Amino acid sequence: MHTETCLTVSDFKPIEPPGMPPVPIPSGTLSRISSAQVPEFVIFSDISPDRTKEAVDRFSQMEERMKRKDELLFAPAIDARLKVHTPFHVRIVPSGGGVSAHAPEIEEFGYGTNRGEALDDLGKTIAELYFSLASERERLSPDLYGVLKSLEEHITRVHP
Amino acid sequence: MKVHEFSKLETKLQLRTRNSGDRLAWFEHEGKVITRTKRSHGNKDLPEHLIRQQLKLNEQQFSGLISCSVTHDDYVEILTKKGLIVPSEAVKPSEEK
Repeated sequence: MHTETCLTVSDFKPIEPPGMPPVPIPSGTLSRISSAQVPEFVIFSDISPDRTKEAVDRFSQMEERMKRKDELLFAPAIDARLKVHTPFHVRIVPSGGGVSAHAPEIEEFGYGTNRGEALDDLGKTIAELYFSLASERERLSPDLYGVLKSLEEHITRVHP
Repeated sequence: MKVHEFSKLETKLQLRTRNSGDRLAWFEHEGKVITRTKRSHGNKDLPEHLIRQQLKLNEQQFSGLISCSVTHDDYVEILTKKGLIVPSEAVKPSEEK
């Protein structure tokens, strides 16, 4: 025979991963079954299906962000003469037996045996690319000129 | 992609190269710099799909370039069709004005 204990939701603090916004829990009464046999489900009798869906959606979004941990914003100190004022969006992808750090906006990549090496290589490549394109500005195809313009949206030359 | 395959591309496309932290390679046509790519030093496998994207080729065209079925002239034609190379005849009239 089950006995019911009534507890208010405000007695509990939701458990959240660090850095995540708390999932709102509607106020109301939480019913818990106390029994020698542990129940498989706890029934939140006052939570509407819509609110449950909202919590599930939030969890899915959190999962999605965790999956995307291999996407990052990258603003390295690439060269003493340059300052990256707007970070590059970079994807880390396994490729060719190593790891690539790919900046799709400028179609450039760094490569290495691990993530750190790939990002380091990407930083150096971005600096090289910037100086090379800037020095040949007059001879660039429209496509490469577009790459230079994109680079200039991220990078400022701080020393000549 | 292997280093020797990249070297094949360099030769076939007559890429201008420069050794820096990586080996940088530029494809030029009629005085214009059209595409660029790079490879790291050493004998590591190279990220083929990223090099292919930088050279503006699809998978079939890229394997043709490595296997010899796509020539330098074919590459110029591919880039022209994509609008990355503007034919000199199309440029001349405006230059003459």
